[in-house]
Order: sequence, then C-alpha cells, then structure tokens
Amino acid sequence: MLAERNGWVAHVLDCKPRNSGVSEINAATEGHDEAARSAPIFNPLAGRRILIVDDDESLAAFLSSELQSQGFAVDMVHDGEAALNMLQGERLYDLLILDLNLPKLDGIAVLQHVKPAQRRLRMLVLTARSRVEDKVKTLQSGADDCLTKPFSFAELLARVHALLRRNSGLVPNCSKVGDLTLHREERRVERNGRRIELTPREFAILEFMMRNPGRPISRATLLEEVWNMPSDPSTNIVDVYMKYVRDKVDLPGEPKLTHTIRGVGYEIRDA
Amino acid sequence: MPSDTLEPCPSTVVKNDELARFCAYMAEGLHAMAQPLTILRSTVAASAAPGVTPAGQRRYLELSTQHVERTCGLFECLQDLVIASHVKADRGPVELLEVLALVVEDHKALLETSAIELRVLVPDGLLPVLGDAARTMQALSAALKVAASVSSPGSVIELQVTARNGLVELMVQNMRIHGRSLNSSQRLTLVLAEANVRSQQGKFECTEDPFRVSITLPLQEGYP
Repeated sequence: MLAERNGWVAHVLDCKPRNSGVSEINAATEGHDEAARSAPIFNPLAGRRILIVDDDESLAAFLSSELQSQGFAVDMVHDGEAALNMLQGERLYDLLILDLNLPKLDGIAVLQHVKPAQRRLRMLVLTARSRVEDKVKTLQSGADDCLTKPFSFAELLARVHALLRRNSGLVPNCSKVGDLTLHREERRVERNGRRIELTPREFAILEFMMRNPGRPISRATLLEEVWNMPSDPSTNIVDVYMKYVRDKVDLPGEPKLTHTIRGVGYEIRDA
Repeated sequence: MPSDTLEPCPSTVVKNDELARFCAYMAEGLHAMAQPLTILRSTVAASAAPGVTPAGQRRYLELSTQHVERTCGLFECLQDLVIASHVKADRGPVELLEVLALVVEDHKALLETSAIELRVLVPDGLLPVLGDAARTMQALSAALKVAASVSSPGSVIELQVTARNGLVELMVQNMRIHGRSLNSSQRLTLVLAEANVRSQQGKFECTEDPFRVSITLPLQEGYP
C-alpha cells in the first residue's frame, strides 16, 4: 500500500509536471495498487510528443492541458520562429498542431520549411479561414489535416488520434529484446512465455526503452518522455519505477536484460 | 468613343477602399473571437461529459466564465468597430490635456501594479485639436493599455505630444524591445483605435516591437 511506502511517496508527490496545475501527474493513482490499473489517462498513443504552435496563449495552454490529461507529452510555443527552433532541436515530435496566423513566421512558411526535412512528422493545421481555397492551399503546403476554428476539443482529439495512428505503422507493434516481447496495441508483455503485468507507467517506461534497445537512456530522458516533466535531479521517481520494471522483467535466475549505466541511466539489451 | 470597360469614379474608389478596410477590421475581429469560442465550445462539452470529476467540472466552469467575459469584450469591440466605421465622428475642439489626464488616471493603478514607469512629455501651450474626444480617448487608452501589457516590470513607456505644421502627434512607445508579440485581442483593440482615429481624418501608425503607436490629428481650424 502507498501508506507503507512513505519513504518515496512524499517525494514523488512533490514532483510537478510541466504546466502543472492542470494535468497533474498523480503518483498515488499510478502506483502499485489496484487504482493504478484503472488509471484513466492511459491510451495506446500516450507518450507521443506533440508541439502546439498558436499565438493565442490561453488557447494553446488549454489545448496543452487537455492533451496532457490524455497522456500526451506536449510542448507549446507562440510564434513561427520559435516553432522552427523547437522542430530543429534535439527533441523529436510525433505531431505538430500549428495555427496559421502566427507572428514572425506564418504557419504556411513553417509548414514549407519543416515538411521536406521531417517526413515522419504529422501536421494538423488550425485556421480561422474556412474557405475551400485556403484549406486546399494548406494541405498542398504539407499539412496532413486541417481544422477550422472555433472547433471542439473532442474533434481535435479524434483527429490527433487518427493522425498518430497513421504514424504508428512506423513503430512496429511488436518489439523484442532477447526473450522479452512487447506488443504495443495489446499492451502485452511476455518473457519466455511468462506474462508480465505492468502498470500504465511501467509499460510506458518499458515501451520507450524497447524502442531504443542497446542505447543508454538517461533519467532525464525518461522523466521527459514518460512523465512529461523537466529534468529534476532532486527526484528519484525514475529509479523507483525502474526498480519495479526490473523486478518484473528480470526474475532471479533469468539473464539480465535491464542494466544500470553508471552516471547515465538505464539500458535494455540482450545479455 | 465610349470605353468598353467601366472606369470607377473617384467616389466609388474611396467607398471600395473603405469597404476593404472595414472587411479587414471585421476579419481581425472574427479571428480574435474564434480563440475563446474554441475554448468555450470545448469546455461546455467537456463539463457535461460522462466521468468528469467535480474538480474537473469546476475547472471547466471557471474557464468558461473567463472566456465568456473575453468573448463579450471582443463582441463589444466589434460593435464599436461597426460604429466607428458607420457613424460619423464628432468634429469639434478636443482639449488634449484633458484627454491625457483622464487616460493617465485610468491606467495609473495598472501601471503601478506592474511597476512600469510612464513618462508624459507635453509641450507648453498645447492647443485643441479638431476631432472626437471619445474616439481620441479610446485610441490613446488602447495604445497605453497594449504598451503596458507587453512591458516588463521596471520598464518605461513614453507618451509624447508634439505639435507642428498644423498637426498634433501623440506617440506612445515602449523604450525597449520586449520580444513579445501581440495577441489577437490586443490587435483587435488597436484595430478599433485605428478605425477611431481614421474616422476623424487622423493618421494612425503602429509598430510591434518595440511597441509604438503614433496618432496624428489636425489642430482646430484657425490655429496655426
């Protein structure tokens, strides 16, 4: 029970996600109790990273908090130049939600810069222009979809899911490391025929690591990719959850697949 | 020989220009309204969705209240735009010192809370301009409000009045770059200011960063 784990519960609850106050990461409902298994925020596309670009700060913040509450990792910026900087940076995005009417560099120019370089990136354009000609121009400039303001978040979410499902073909449904198999759609993990039960957060950690086998993954990266939190050396949340994952994946007597890389973080590889 | 094509007469050209400008103003207004309406459309549906917690409902209600107010403010701005474009402005003497005093008084609290210094530079013996006091006040007030909203604490806004060649220029400017872009509500407020100044046959210019608005009005006839 959580109450018996005071040593880390208090610590974990101290962690605030980016843009906290709206989509709070509730460690208490994601821990190792039954409540965690019915955690409502998990969806098969959770953890996918989205960049929102809209000059209306309140709308961008609203969309960001709603998408975060659906389990997505979200960043937002408010002008075209900042969008290009983010997209040319180290962080990889699965989806770009882009308003057309942007300061510094308009949305069409952003699309035209980004599309040739990032073919995998899906782009959903938001516009207040409802004319067919405008939509055609937007789609011809590289957008994958177009949504006219004022829209409802429910429609945006449905389109986000549809676009990310298109991408999911590029990440195989099944990943294997040694005798460990992870099935993404079914959310099933097995090792040598043994079914491994994971909480949503544990699954997200293992899923991310199995997308990057043989590559050391830092604690900061896991914190960002799985919890959508900025790097925070004062938290041990990653180590705590990593221990749960290892205890379930590597049973005594089995070859070790999860490894600690001193000074860096963790790695999954076939021993 | 009569021409095959119709040549627009000068008054038609003026009317077309006015219509084009009015349409551009309206487009700005509709764009601004699309933002809070998107939030409202979403929050109203989300608050009634099955499974939403009481805390979630409260949050959606707060957001809805906030954005209903924002939408009403924008709607009011659009109404004022229609008025500015279709109702003739007063053409009377306007005592700029009185207008300035009222505008500065209105913004005093906002400027103090935000720790922004306002420097007002007015020449001695400022003569009345020819125009509409209410519309001039809205334009000046909008310029000051936007200047304050894009300023950081500790910064300076200058309100300078200069008179020459039968014209008076009121200039509101931020003294340094803030790196902030104007949002759609701020732009609509400035569009209304522009419409109000133009309706008095005045001149309105705006640059974003550093933020600067220049309003030029003619001196009352009979003055040099």
